[in-house]
Amino acid sequence: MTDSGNGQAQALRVQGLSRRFGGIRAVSDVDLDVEHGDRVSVIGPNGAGKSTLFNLIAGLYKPTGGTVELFGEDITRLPSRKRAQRGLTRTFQTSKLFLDLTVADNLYLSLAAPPRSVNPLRSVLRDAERSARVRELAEQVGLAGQTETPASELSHGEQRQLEVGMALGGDPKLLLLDEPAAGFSPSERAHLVDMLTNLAPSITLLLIEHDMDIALVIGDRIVVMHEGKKLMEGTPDDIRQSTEVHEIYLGKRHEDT
Amino acid sequence: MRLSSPAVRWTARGVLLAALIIYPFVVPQPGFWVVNIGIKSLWLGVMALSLIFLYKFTGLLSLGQLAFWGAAGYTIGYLVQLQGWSFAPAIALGIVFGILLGALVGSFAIRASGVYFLMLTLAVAQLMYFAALQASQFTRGHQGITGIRPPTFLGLDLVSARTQYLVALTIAVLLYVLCRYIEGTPFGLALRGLRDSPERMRALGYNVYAYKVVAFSFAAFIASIGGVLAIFYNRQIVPDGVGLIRTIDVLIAAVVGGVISLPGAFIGAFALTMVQNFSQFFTSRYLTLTGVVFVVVVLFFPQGIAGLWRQFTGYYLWAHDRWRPATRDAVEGKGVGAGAAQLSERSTD
Repeated sequence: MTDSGNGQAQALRVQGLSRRFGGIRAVSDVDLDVEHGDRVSVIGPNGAGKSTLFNLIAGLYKPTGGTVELFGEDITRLPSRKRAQRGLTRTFQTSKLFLDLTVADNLYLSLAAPPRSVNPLRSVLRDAERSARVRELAEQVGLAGQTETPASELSHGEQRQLEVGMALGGDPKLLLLDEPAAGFSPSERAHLVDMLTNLAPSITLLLIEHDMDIALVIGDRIVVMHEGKKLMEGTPDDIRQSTEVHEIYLGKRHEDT
Repeated sequence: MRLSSPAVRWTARGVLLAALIIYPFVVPQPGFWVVNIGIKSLWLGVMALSLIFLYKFTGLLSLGQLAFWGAAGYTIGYLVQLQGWSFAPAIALGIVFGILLGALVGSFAIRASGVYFLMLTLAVAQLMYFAALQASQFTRGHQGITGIRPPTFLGLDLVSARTQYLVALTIAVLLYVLCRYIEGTPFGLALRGLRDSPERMRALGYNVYAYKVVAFSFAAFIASIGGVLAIFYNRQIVPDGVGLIRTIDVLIAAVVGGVISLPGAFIGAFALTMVQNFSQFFTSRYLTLTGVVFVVVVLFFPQGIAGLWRQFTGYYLWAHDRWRPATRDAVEGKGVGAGAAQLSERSTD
């Protein structure tokens, strides 16, 4: 079915992935293929299993069934840090920052992570090369003026921007973004969309987004999750025209507001 | 008002260091002020530094630091007094043994966290106490290894109170500077990162477990050096030296000084040493008094003596802001609390 035999393996290949929490099937028998450079959005209503699927791919949870392959390598049993070392970086739905550290130090830690060889006992201030990269990253995510601000003093939106910056700092080959725009103002949204559109084409992107505008603009391919299962997969146009999606997702969203 | 400018800070540091160097030459009764107060504060401060380093950088509160103090002390006592070694190799071996024990204890203790970590490390300190009592062929049981005469190193006669004080001061300052340096290295940043969010550290590719074991071993290294200084001070090592009360002394020194402040280690050790030495003039219950001081600090001054300035400027700002509600709202609106509230409203899955 795939071309894993002839050298050019897929960026991500998920087969029959399942995870139960007690009696609840949070994710149930999901298949997903993501090619190099793809932009895939995962959408679905609350409780559809999007975040669980993400955490299974990133290694935060262990699956109860199925396999995950990253660039042709079976990583189902690898811990998160080994997945990160293979080029899989992520953001968290709820910001998990180093709140006591400055923006610059947060970004620096993402740049200095293994497998890069950093002398652990050489003062950070003397690491000119990475300090320059820190400034670049800060600018890219719109935090250029705040590199010396502790992460705890950033606004909610700025913390989300820093989340993205740290994921980019890890030199991702596969970037997983878990609702990066949650709680964003319209201008912050516009900036995020702009940044994601200009992302290096070599980076494969898997995006969970509650906001349909962002999900359908960024994603070339959309995966719709519902009750732990993959409901459908298609182009943004397919999704816009699907009555099923409107019923379970867009309809519900109208009731919310 | 520019109290925090680098020039002011460096001048203050210079003055403080000069005062600490002149101290043994100007105080009366050197036997008391230099030895009982000065050297005691320094080695107890080094022990508190070992605890505070671990707590500040990894968030782990350890009651076991005295076990590494004892490991180094007993190794030196045994090799010098019972085996007739000279001090230099005995001290080197004592420190190495302390670090190795630290790595061993760390490799299982850091799997626990919070109160479980506290109890595990307390158990390790108590194990050291009972080992000291029972392994009498190495430790001479409850009588301990006594009559250790401090050596002369590089022309420095450690029997002299002033010399011993200055050597202890030098070592304490070096360890302090080393801890401050580590704060600004990738290693130090990674430790502070894993204290704030171990999950994020794993997601970035760091081996959280290995970092914690190395941090714990480094704290054991500091504690071992405390053990070396203490053996010159006590001229003996006995089981009570690693007993429960001494274990708690280290915790109290750290908390009274300020448990997230590196200089707090020495401030707290000095304060505790003063309380313990001067309480005898008005009460024989110095343990009760120490306990009361501890409770008062925990209840009313959670950042310890080192945090008093910040605590009281905090009160001042708070009182000031009460008369300007508009500014306060502006600050709160930008805070983490507001962000978290927004987030939970939006959270899905």
